[in-house]
Amino acid sequence: MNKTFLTLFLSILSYHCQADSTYFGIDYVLTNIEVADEIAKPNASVIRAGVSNNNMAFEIQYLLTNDTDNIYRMEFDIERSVGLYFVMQSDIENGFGLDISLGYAMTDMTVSGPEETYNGEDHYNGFSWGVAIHQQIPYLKQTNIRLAYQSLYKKSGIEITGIYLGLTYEF
Amino acid sequence: MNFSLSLDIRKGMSMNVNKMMWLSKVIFVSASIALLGCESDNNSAELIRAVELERLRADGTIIEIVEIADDQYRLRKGETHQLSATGLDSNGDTRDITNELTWSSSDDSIAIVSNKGLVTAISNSTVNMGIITITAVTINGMLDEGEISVSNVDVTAISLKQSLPKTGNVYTCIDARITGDVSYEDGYISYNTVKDMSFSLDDESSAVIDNEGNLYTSAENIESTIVTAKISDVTGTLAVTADPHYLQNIDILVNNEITTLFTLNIGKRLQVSGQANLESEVSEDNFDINNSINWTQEEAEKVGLTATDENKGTIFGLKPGVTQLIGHCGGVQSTATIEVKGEANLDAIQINDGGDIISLSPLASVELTLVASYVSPVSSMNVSEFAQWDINGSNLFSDEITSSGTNKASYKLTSISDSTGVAIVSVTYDGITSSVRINIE
Repeated sequence: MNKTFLTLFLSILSYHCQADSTYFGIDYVLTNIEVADEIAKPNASVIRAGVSNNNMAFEIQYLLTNDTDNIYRMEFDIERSVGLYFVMQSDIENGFGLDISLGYAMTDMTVSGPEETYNGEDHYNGFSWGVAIHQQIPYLKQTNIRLAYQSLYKKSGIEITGIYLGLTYEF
Repeated sequence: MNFSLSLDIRKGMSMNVNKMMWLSKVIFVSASIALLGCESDNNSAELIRAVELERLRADGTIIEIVEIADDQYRLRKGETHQLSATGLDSNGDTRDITNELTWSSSDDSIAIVSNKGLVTAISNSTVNMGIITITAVTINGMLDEGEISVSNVDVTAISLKQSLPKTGNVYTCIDARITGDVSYEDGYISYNTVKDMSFSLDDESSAVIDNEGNLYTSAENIESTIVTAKISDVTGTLAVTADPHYLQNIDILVNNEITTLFTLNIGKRLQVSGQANLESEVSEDNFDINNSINWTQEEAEKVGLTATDENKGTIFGLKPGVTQLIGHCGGVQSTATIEVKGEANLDAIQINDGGDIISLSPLASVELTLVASYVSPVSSMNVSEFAQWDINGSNLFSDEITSSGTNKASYKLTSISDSTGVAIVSVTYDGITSSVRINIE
């Protein structure tokens, strides 16, 4: 799957040659790690970079947690999450737009607790999707404020999602 | 001309770009859909289990002791048997954990067990009396083992015993249960079972027993009953004594509320039930005695009362007025007043479609339904269950009321021989008589 990831990444680089804009963003993320109907919500930050052409974009995201959260006696920490997305962008109306992203995310999560519980760094790789709305900031025409929901991983009994709030700057 | 050509080229290019954009979206959406279901992780099952365990620990409901019940049981190929399990949790509470366990069989070629503890016998075995081990494990690794045997050898002995109560006399009116330890030719003993048993009681007893070994007693005085269980030609007997002395009182319940007065509209049905209390030094519990209580009424024409069978305790409003419902068991009784409301001016009664002759073949059955028609208010009711039927001395039929306690109640006649003949069946309800001729031909 890493080869697929690499291929997609190289495709994005080549796409950049035809791009009519590139952008960069940074978000605060309230993650939601749900395991067996119990939830941990560590805070995180994400940086995003993408190239856009004709209402389509390729985007890469890199997420790091700012802190940890616990489920009972176990601490949950998202070490990192890297995702590559194909983004379908709506037309911009009065500075407002809607994006839907489909892609692949690789998330590393560390869980630590007493010996009789669970300890380990686990890898969660798979389909990822998201939906975002963004609004151009008046007087800062190249800057958008963006609110998004993103699913990083979902499987029976476990789900990793996040609510993203941040800024995007278009070059 | 040149302008026109240039416009065409640009238009064509624009269309190609749009097609490419559309194609790109299709490709990437398709690729994303293809990724669905490709999720992978290295240890989520273990993590989920750890979280579930932590939840149980936090709630204090983690199981510390497991105990399988209903094992030590003999099956034949193709038969099933439900095992159950109870668990003692870290709060000190006991609960049914049958569906919380991981069940396994020591030999799936002899018997398998579902994740809900249902054992299915796959093949008969003569090795080690056909015994296999069933293991039940909790999420935190606590386990218990039980045995099941699968074989097809004959029974050699039945040893009956009281399961409820385990010792002493039975409390009259309170449900009791009889089971047996069954020995087989290969030496195996199946414990606490009623499998394949047919039960009977001595002729002197007023008690009733069903196929599951449930014994219902109601005698006013101490009564001894001989219970006999039979499997093929092998029998076992047990003397059971029912003692009414500890029976304190009986209550009549409507909609699960104790009542001494209630109303019923004409043409409506209501289910009443009975409960009993024992002397406080014996038990503080309320006991459901629906299977033991006997129901009677003061004025039969006001309400119809179903006193036996599946719908025992169903009452049906027939005529306006007030009557008394009496529930009695073990020499103790309780009374409730029933006020029947409405009008019921009887006009006529009719058997089935009103025809004078009904034909049937030898050994066949026919169901007769009696409908009473009223002029005020204009309506009709099935009163088959509450009428007096008479086959006028005919020995051609056996008769019974079917579906009693329901609006589908009927009087069922069954021809009991190959003989042909004729019988006149008459029925009387509220002073009106009707009859029908039955031809067996």
